[in-house]
Amino acid sequence: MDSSSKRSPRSPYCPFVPPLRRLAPTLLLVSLAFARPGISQDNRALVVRSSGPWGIIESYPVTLEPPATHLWEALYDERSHWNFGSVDQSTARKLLADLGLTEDTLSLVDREGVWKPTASGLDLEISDAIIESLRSEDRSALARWFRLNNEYFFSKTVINLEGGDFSAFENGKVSPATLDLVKKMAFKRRNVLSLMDRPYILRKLGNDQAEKEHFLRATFATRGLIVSLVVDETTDLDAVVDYWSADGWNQGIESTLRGVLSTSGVDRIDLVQILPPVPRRYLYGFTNLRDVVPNNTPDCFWASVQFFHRKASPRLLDSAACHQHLEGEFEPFEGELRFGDLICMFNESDGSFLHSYTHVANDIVFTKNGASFARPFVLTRKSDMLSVYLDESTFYERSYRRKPTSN
Amino acid sequence: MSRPPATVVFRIALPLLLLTADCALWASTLRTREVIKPPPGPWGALEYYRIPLDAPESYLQFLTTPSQQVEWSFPAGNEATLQGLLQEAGMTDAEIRLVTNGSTILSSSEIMRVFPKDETILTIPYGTRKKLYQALSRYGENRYHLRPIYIDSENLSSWFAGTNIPRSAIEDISLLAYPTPRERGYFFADTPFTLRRASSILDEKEILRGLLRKQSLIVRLRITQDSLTKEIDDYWTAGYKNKAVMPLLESVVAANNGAAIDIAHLLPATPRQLLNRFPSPADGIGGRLPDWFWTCYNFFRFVPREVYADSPERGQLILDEFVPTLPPLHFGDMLLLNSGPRTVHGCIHIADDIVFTKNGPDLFSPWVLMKLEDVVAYHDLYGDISLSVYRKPPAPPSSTP
Repeated sequence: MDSSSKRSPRSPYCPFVPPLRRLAPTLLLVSLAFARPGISQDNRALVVRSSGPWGIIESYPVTLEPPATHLWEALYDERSHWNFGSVDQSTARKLLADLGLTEDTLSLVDREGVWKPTASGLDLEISDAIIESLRSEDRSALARWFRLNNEYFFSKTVINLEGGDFSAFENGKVSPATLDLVKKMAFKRRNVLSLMDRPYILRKLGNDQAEKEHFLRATFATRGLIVSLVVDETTDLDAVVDYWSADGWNQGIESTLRGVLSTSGVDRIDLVQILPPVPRRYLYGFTNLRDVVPNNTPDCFWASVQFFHRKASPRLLDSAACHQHLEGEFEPFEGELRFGDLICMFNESDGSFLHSYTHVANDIVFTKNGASFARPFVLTRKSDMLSVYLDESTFYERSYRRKPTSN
Repeated sequence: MSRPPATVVFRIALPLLLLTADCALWASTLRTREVIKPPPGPWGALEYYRIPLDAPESYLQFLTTPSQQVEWSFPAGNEATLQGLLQEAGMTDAEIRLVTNGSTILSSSEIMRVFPKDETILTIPYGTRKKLYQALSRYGENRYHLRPIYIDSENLSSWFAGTNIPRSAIEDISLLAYPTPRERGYFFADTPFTLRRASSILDEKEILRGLLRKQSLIVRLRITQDSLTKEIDDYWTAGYKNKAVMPLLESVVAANNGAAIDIAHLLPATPRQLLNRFPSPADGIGGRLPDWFWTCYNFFRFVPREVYADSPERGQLILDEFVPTLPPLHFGDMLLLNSGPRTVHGCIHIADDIVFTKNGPDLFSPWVLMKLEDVVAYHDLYGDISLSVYRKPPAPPSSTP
């Protein structure tokens, strides 16, 4: 990898190259309403079954919203503004025209926009009329400029909707009117569906605090999976133990799996019982303040590089370049992925680090998308994880395996 | 020579028939365990089953193989004192004669070491063994009696299924195990004796590893949109102490109504990380390994604090951070097991008398889920355990993670 690659903890927005990784022979079955232990006959969920070197795993999707207590005060801020950093007012005004904003919008900016120098650079406070005049492509152009030129503002303002659709808002809690507003304000950045007018929507919700909370929770909804490993008489237990033990990095699972096999009425075990300590500790959980230091919080790299660690290390929050960790504890490889392999995504244009995740089995990965408090650590499908990374730019992937002696 | 009472022989030996019936089947696929589905409670509808936990193979190197010679140590300078100690333990003169006759006795001014004959060890009646071994457990030199192996099942073939313990050793165990004072489960304290069944050093290690096997529970909560009530919400969030659990429960019922979710997902981060795992040697890098108080005190703590059962601040921490309470038990309640004035153990209530516990301060004691009755039976060497309950006051709702 490029030795200049640095982690970018506030940048979970990776460019796009859909890399077609070779997958092990896999049988995907989509089934409804299985009548067997662990899955009720009432179940109407989509259960996906896949088989391979990992044995047979079953999974069904869940959508995790951050608890209301994880919605920090700034998220409720109703002040709409754009921040142009060190750019001066006339340059910024010209930029808006260059980005293709309509004459209507530009004249509204001139009439109603309020330019304000602030400690973080030049702000333009925007009115409802300005926001309502924006087209989807205007928002896309603005977001792109912010991502390239003012990443900090971009990361605080632009929220990517996981899965690239509005399903998180169709949860029976968010009102149809709010959903309409969200649809009106949402915009595409290539394959990524984003929202940057959160303050506007909050203003429109008036004093309805509950609705504001439902809206914000749905905005940060993250797709995860509940995953079980099937252990029954057809299971090649030695092969399954071998896969999940990952060359000894994940010890102590064999007797648990044999215990399942010797129990009547049970033929699957939740993957949480098999995962190593660190991912098990954080799975479906949100960042805790005790894991945070003043200038950094746990992110994708923090989560994936420590996958086999016994305890999470604060060292991973230091500003070390990711190659230090990769070269010290891992070795790059090509070929079949196995449980616990670390995959890093690098920006194709400059080799900078974009995102990382841990391969679990088939198309299931362990990841934390970005450094946000509102994004949990999840097992999820790779396609769902990538749904917030497939924007305008491009990336390439590299696989790493833990060195045998690095424990 | 006395024989064990017939009824007890039956209770212990019967499961061995399973073992002898078909060893290959026993080793691999025999389904000898069941899923238990207790009545629902404020926690919802649980179902659970038992799983064995074997210490990692790499831990075998830490095991010191004991001598096969059984030794009973008493703080007695002469035979009269020894006789007095055994009488205090409730043994009759005939019983005392039985266990000492033919034994080799080495004595010094402080300690009397009794080396019984193999025949004596095998033929001590259960009642006598119970009294003798209880007496031995009072003296630290008798480490196998001080902390006997607890077997919570009469089905030894199920208990040892998948281990490499030879059948002859399991037969020994069936003869030498004795009922706990609570008559729930069995104690086994004759590990050195069992090693005579080994034919190699490797065998000895495997027997030791098998004997060190622990049992835990896999517990699942079955939830539906109808059953996910505020009561269940309140139960598992435990007054904001476990606040992050609800998003997952809500999303599970939304996605898979009627699913059974492993309650590992519902535990706070620290116990979830440790559940069904043995401590790592790295956990002792600060000088010692976690024990029961470390486990209880840190249940709701995201970052564990290094406090132990014998830490001077233990009492004050309980006074400052917990309040004494009474059943019904809540999620996260700390249960202390008291033997007279001494607290001998503590564990955390999860639901329906299932507790989270670490039963020893050593490398071979994993963090497990067990039925409270089994934890009490495990630690109740003298039949005098009483319980006290402490609850961490609810945390106020907070706007920070």
